[in-house]
Amino acid sequence: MLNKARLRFRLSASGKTLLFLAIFLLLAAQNTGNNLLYLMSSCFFSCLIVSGILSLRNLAGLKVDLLLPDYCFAGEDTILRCRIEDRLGRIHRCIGFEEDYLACLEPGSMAIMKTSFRVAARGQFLVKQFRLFSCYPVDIFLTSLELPSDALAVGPVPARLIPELLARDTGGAIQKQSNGKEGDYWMQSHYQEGEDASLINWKISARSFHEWVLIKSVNLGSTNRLFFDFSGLSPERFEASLQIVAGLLLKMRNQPNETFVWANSFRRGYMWVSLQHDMPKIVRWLACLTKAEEQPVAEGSSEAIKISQWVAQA
Amino acid sequence: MSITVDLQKSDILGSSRASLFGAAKEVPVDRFVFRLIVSLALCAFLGIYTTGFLRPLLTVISLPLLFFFFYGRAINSPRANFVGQLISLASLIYIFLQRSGPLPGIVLLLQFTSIVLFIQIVFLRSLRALNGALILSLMIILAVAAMNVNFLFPVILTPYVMNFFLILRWISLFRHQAVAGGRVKIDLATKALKGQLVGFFVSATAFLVLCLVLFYLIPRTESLGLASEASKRRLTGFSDTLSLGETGVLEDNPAVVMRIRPIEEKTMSPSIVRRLKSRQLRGTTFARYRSGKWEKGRKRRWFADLRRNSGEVQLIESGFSQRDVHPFEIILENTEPPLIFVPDQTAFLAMGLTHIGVEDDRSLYFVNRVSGSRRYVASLVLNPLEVTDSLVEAIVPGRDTLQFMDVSGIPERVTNLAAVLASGTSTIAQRIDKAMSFLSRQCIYSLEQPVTGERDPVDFFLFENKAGSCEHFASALALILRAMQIPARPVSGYTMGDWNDVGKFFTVRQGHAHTWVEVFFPQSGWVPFDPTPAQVEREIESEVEKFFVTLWETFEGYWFSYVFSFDNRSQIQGFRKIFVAMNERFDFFVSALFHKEYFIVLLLLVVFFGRKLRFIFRKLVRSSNWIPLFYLEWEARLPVDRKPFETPAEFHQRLFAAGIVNEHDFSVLKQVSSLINEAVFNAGSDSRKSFSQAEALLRSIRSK
Repeated sequence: MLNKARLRFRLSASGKTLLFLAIFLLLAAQNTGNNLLYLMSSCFFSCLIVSGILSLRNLAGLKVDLLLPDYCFAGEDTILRCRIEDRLGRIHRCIGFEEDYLACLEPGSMAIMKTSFRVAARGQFLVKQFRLFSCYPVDIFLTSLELPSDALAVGPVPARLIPELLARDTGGAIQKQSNGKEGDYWMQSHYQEGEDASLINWKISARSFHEWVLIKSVNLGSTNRLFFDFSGLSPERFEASLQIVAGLLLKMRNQPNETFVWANSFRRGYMWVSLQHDMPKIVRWLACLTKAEEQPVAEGSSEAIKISQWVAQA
Repeated sequence: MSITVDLQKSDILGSSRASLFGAAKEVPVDRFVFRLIVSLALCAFLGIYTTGFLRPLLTVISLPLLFFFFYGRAINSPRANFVGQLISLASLIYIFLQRSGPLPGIVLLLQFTSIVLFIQIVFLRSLRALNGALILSLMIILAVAAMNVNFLFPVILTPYVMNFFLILRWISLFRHQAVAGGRVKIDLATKALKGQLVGFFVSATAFLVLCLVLFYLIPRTESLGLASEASKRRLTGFSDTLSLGETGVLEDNPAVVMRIRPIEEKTMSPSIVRRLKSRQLRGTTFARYRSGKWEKGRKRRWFADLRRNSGEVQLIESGFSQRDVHPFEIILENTEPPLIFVPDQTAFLAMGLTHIGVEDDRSLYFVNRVSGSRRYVASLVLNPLEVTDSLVEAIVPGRDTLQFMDVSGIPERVTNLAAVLASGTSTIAQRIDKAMSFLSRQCIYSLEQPVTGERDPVDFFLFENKAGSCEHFASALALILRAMQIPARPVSGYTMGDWNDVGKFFTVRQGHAHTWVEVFFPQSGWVPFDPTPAQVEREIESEVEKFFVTLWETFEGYWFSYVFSFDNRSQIQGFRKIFVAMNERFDFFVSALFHKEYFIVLLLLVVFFGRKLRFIFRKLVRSSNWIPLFYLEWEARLPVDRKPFETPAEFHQRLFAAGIVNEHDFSVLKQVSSLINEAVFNAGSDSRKSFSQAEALLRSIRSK
């Protein structure tokens, strides 16, 4: 096997009927000595064997990766992608992934199949029991390639209406995006929704799973350091406040100046995490944050936003 | 399709296998698949048609099916569906009531299944119903196979199987369609179509080979003896009674009863074959006649021990030379009753058995009933039997003749006719000649059997209808001769059948069944006479028709020899041959392995194909598949290996640094690497053109 996905196959209703008939006919042929029954029985057995081999070959030799999104929020449609690639130079037919269908995968080529789902509440979820399936070549064997499970952090539902107090646009230099290579200092950054799509660098994006935009002459400008203090909140308000934080962070992420959030990075505990570059970590922190969790006080100078205070003001 | 989010367990679950694979049950069937299932049902009905049963029913239900084939859709009405269910129920009750009727149980089952299949198709709505129709059609085909009607079966089986798999292919697409919530299709792009066709032929060949391998390798056991009578071939006219005018259900069936293959080359000459065509294969005889029904005489049977004579039976003791003897292998299908059919003038029978049953009338029987076919060798004398005529008074009623002189059931008019014909004759041959002349002048051959009511069939045949089958002619002659005080008996058997010039064998079918008369001569014994007028057979004039007839018979011959009559004995012989052949090959291989020539050849192979092997190995183990094959092939020839992580550009740099390529070649290689990069990574470029340019550049370096 070329990947960790588990290949499984089972008989369909037609296959079960055929197997039963093949065994029954073999017994009948042994009893009566009727060669036509032997012939029919061997015909059924060979059909089962050949279609079984073809079914197995159809999904074997595929490199399959379940591509989870870097981060996602509850209440929004999340796209789940499955990247399949042929590694043995074989053609693969009739592959299904949830409601997506691929008629043919050429030898040596790659395809991405996708499905979408929506989660109602935040949390750390285990994405499991996803599979590629195929009924190729005939409806006798049903083959499936069970994909390995993976964890997905789902952030809280981002609040659409951010209170005025928090929804400020902080200053900072505006990044100038351009489509060329001119300039002394440039870099590539992830394309964010709302940006000019004509600036996407497709030559690079085609090789990646993300869209990249060329950023020219980045002025780092001033940075923000946010410390969200969730103490003193009731359980109901705690969830609502998380949603507001998620909405706020999404809004601030589109702003040009660098923002750091005092968040749990899990491996190294609480630290300043970049909103622009480490959003998955922040979403994971928001997904897993409980009311009972004690937040250490932020190191260095920062802007502390005491949520309870704000809620009280609101 | 729904993805489940379990908030309690914090799981996001993909669709279960049951929901993925079971979503298609209620998918409506499209026109193409509907037509496929109609043609599948028609194939199944054709299978039943070949058995000779249920022909009126099949005609009635096939015509609407043909209409539905062109119409392309089923009736979709709940009321009509209800009517269909009622018809199914009514047919079930009808079949139940018919269970003690003349039709065998398997035919009743076929009748019921055909009606239900017809209704299922007419009201076909969803995939679930399609599956039901598939199973019903399978049941029909299997029942036909169980009825053991050969030769036509494979001709029907082939389109049936193709149709069956095509439907299964479409069902698999329906499953995907149900999950996808929209139409899915087979990729019919030119490249994919070519691949599909190649794949189809490879799969079909694999299927066929595997099917044959399994057929010949599945161990065959002796019959357990649990088979029902209906599953055995029962030959009409060979039981204890023979009713005149009784037409068997397999009368028109072209089913082959036996195949007779000359063993020696001399027998296959056209002149001898022509002479052999008039021969008859003797089965059994009848003694008592009672109003149209012949019964067997004394049922005294003894067993002949063949072990004393090396498994041989001598039937003619003298009067022939070995040069005149022509041996034939007779492959007789497993029949009921287990008669041994013996050609006229058979001198020896080689059976390979320890015992056979012999009756008073010299009918021969197999002692044990076994599954599969029977094979034995009959050695014929070609010269006709020389009969010594005698006076009728010379006949002395004895144990062999007394029961065949019984005149108790002979109608009065027949007795009077015999008296008229016998007047002025004194010898047996003269009276036979008179009687046969009368029959040939007065009566004509016909297979039509009119209803005779309470009248005696022979009387009706001779004086009113004057037309009848071989049974009528033989019965009339036997009764007339008995009325003339000459021992005579009707004999049931077969004519020699059709000669196949390609396969070099005679094919004896059910339709070749024949009845003739044996007359007793005191000095010569029982001598056969055939009163039935010779039939003018339709000569095949067209060469094309002749070709196809020969082809068909050849196919029949192979089918009979290698499929139909294949049994456990043939299987054991086959295994033995394979074992011997493998042993010989293994010995050859072992002896060749230790020859120095073998090592030289091996060395040469390594030298010549080493590079190719290296390339194949690299192709298999390559870590990334973005580098084209022609490049891998080129680099396999180089003395330096490209490291798995090296790009072509980096590799070229290393080659140049090591002095393996010169400056000019290096510049060419730079172009090659940029062309490959462009083809692979630049989505907007014409990758095929870039690859071909790169390949041409590499070829230019290679040619140096």
